[in-house]
Amino acid sequence: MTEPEIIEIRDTEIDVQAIMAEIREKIAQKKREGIFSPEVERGLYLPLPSLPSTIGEENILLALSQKVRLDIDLPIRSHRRPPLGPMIVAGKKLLRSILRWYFEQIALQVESFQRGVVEALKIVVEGLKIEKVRLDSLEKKVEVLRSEFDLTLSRIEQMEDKVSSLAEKIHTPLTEGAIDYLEFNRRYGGEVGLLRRRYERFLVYFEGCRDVVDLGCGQGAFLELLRTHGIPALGVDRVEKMVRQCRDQNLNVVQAEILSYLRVQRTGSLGGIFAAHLVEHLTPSELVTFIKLCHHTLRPGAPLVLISPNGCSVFVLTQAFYRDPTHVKPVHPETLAFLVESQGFSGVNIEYYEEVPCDLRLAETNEGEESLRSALNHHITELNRFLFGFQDYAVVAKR
Amino acid sequence: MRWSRKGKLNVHQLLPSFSPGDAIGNEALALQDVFREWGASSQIYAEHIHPSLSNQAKPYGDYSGSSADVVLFHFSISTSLTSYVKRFPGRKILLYHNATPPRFFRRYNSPIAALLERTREELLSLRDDCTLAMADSEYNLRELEEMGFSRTEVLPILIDMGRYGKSDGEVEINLKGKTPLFLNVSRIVPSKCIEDIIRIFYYYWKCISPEAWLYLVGSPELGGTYLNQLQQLVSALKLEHVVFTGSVSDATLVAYYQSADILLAMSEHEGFCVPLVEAMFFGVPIVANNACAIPYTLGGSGVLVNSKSIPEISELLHLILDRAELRNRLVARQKERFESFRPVSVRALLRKHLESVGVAFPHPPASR
Repeated sequence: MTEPEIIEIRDTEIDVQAIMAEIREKIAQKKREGIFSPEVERGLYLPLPSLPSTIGEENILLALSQKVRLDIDLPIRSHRRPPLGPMIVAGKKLLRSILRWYFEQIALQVESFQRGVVEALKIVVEGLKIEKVRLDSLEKKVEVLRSEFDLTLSRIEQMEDKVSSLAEKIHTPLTEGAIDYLEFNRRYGGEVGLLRRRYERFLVYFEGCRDVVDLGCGQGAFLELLRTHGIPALGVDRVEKMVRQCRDQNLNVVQAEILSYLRVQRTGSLGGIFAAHLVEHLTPSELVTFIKLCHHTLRPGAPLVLISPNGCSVFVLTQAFYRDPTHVKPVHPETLAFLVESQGFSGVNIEYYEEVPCDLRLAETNEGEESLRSALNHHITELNRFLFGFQDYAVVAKR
Repeated sequence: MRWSRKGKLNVHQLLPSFSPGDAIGNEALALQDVFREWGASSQIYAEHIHPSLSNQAKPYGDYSGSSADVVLFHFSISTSLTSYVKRFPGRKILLYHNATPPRFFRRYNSPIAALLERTREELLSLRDDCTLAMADSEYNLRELEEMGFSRTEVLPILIDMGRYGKSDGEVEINLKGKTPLFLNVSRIVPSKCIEDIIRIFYYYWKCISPEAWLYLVGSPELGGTYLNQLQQLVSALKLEHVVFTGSVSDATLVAYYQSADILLAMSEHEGFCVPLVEAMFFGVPIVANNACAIPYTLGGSGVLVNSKSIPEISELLHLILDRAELRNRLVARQKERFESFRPVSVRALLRKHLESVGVAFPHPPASR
């Protein structure tokens, strides 16, 4: 089970992961710039001050020790009127002086017992005080340990983030910047004219659109098509040489990381997205984020066209896909369609195109007996489908 | 004193404590108006009555129940009213507001903690006596059902929105220019985890904007001990712009909501949380801890916090303030959610629940 995100917004219109990515980047930046300093971080873990003592034992003991002595000379009064009243008082006083020696003995015994109790209580209270000091210091230690633990935990979480981002980098064999990708693309990715012919079929989806972006526009094949058909568009590519080449053709292009570019676009600000041979350069988690961001930035009804090599064809895998060292892994057409659909796109469709040239495929036979020939040709067709399936596919959908 | 008159329906309410600003007390007053409007005679009886409200409630000893009466018992803490209600001969309807777990009070006030320890046991003892047990949230309802209460319904707290009609102009002027202003509305008790709000504000104040203000609105309880701890934390952090307002009038509360940019609630325990509904009403975006009844009351609106990771929450506040689109979307969803708490919806639900157990009111419900 995956850990829930720090925040939860139960609204499909709001991309929490994109928000959290932005927030984490801000925090990391503030740490780098020293704004979120270790001092501020310590402040975050400052515990609540300890509770004051509420026992009030000193006052109770003082009050008790003042009541240890017994007063046997209580005032003697009578409510009777004279002469009976004074006579009764005198009688009582006489009785008290006769019995004083007796009451004094009892009072002394009670006082001695009470004094003992108070002394015993003092010892208990002293013991309690020592225990309380010990408890307070233990509580403080626990608080310190807790804050250290929390700090360590947050560091572990940060390290986990770093490890997972490193792991993703390990999965990516190479970035386009590490090789001359323009040259590589020219040699193996097909020349611009060929690509234009291949992409022409997708123009229909962008008719009448504005604010179209071609993500990973490469040498600008589709951008040129759009321009020819009067559809305003912008290209985005992270390879400087590609961007320069496009600009040489007066195409409107910016150099940026695709995900970073999408993250700063406003919700519903794009009128269409075309991305040819981009998704196979993303890690699985980047791919999910990418589709979410597409959904977030496209306006309702806007088209999305994602093109990728068809990994279901063995020929494509061996002769094209693994030739490019910057590819991460093939994206199965149905997986891509599923991801697009599950992010809320509608009318999701897979279009396969660009057959392998006939001379490379297994040829059917005209020889042999009819039944044998028919069975053999059936297997050849199946094998051709498996070995030499369509070279590319496109997932087409609407926001 | 006997209140039942022949032929007249009596629906009385019993509650442990009736004090100003308290959500249960406010609801009792709102319910009393509704019962009277529906043609029943209705009185509030309480164990402890705050002197300022002595003309609105009577000591429960004054009430000798009749078997024809209906009694609505607001339950949230162990009280001597329970045994009184159990002996009462008429129909008994429980309204369960949930009880704060005693662990939050043990270090502050052991008698209250002891009362809270007994609360669940006492609630269980009412199980077979009640005609109907209503809970003010889905979360509370689950507790009742786990305890085996057979006839249960949810009835959100009935809030008299008329209380929010007037704002204190002087307070509004005083708050002018204090932006961003973060607001928390709750009693100052440990279960509300106000220290977490102070920590969130601390990061905001230190790393985002020293112009920010934090208003903590609510009455301090437990002899002010917890408040004192919070104030010490604020001064240890050398924080400025943190205001503990204490208990405030309705008009002042309205001024705070109208000036607030975000309502923050980091509470670890809530049975319903009225301030969430108030924030929905005033169009203030909500960022609240995902605990107890909070996600049920928010019902898919607002922002829930799954882990109290302070820097991330503070940055989120900034993002909400910075992105009008995000803020408007949150507020719009909250407004939609608020519809379920409109008095007219809650009144209809109340009438339905009571009629389902045979309480027939003489007057039809008003259309408002």
